[in-house]
Amino acid sequence: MDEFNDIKNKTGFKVPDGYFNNFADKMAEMIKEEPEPKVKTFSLKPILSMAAMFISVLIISWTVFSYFNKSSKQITNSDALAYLECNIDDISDDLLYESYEDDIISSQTYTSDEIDYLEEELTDDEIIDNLDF
Amino acid sequence: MKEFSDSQIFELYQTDKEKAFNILVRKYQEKLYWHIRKIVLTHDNADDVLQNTFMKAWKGLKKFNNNSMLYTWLYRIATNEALTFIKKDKSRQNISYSNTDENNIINLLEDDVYFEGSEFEKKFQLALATLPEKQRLVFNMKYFDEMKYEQISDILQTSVGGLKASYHHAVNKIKEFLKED
Repeated sequence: MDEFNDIKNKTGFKVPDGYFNNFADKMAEMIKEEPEPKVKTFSLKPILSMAAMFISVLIISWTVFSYFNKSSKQITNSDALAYLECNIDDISDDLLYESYEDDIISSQTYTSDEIDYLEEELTDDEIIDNLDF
Repeated sequence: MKEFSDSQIFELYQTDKEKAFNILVRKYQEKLYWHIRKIVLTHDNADDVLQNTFMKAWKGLKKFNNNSMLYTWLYRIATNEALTFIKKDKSRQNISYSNTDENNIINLLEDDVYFEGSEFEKKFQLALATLPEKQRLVFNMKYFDEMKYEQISDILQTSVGGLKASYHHAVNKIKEFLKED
């Protein structure tokens, strides 16, 4: 077993003469052919593209949703009239008046001179004829 | 030639990459070569693996963390490259370095003009080839390279206790093998 301890320094492996002197030069040549190592830099470009895409999808989704949501909730005049015709008995006179009050007031905008004229010059029947509703 | 410390090499690398790399190669080439040679056995294979090792190091140096040991890092690359080489070579040539097919190992050694070992040295290589991969690596690093268990532990990422056990088993197996006629 003495050989077991001796073999540490003699494995039988050899290298060509001058191998280690030439190896470093060989490596120097090899790295010149290889492009200089570059560390991958952190780029915002793909993240910005993703964000832009995400925002676009959000805007389109929101627009489409709003359009359908609005159109499904929007009540047309004909719908309202149809509803009123069917349910007119359930609606009190006060409520009806309140509903139309704004329209009545806005459609009858008279100046004070006009009102004086109407009161002085026109008969009650003529005044009623002048009213729009 | 002046021996540069790892941190000096790393410092130089910041200003002159090629010069720093050349110094690094000169500093570690022999140690890494013999480490690789004991794994792949022939000079030509060891030369190929050593070149691959340093090319990997060149590409990875920029990302290398100065807090880590350059020596440990290089040994780890060399070990991985050598083991990868063996696996590729095994599947390519159907040659095994770690089975009991003694003829394959003997042919490999005898065909290598840079092996001039005695019959005992040949048998010793055969004994090593019968060891499982991990035990063979531990034995080489502890016995031939006289590394500390802590260093081996860093390179192979194995606990010191596990390495001691591997080395103990390896020594016993080699002794048993050498006793056989």
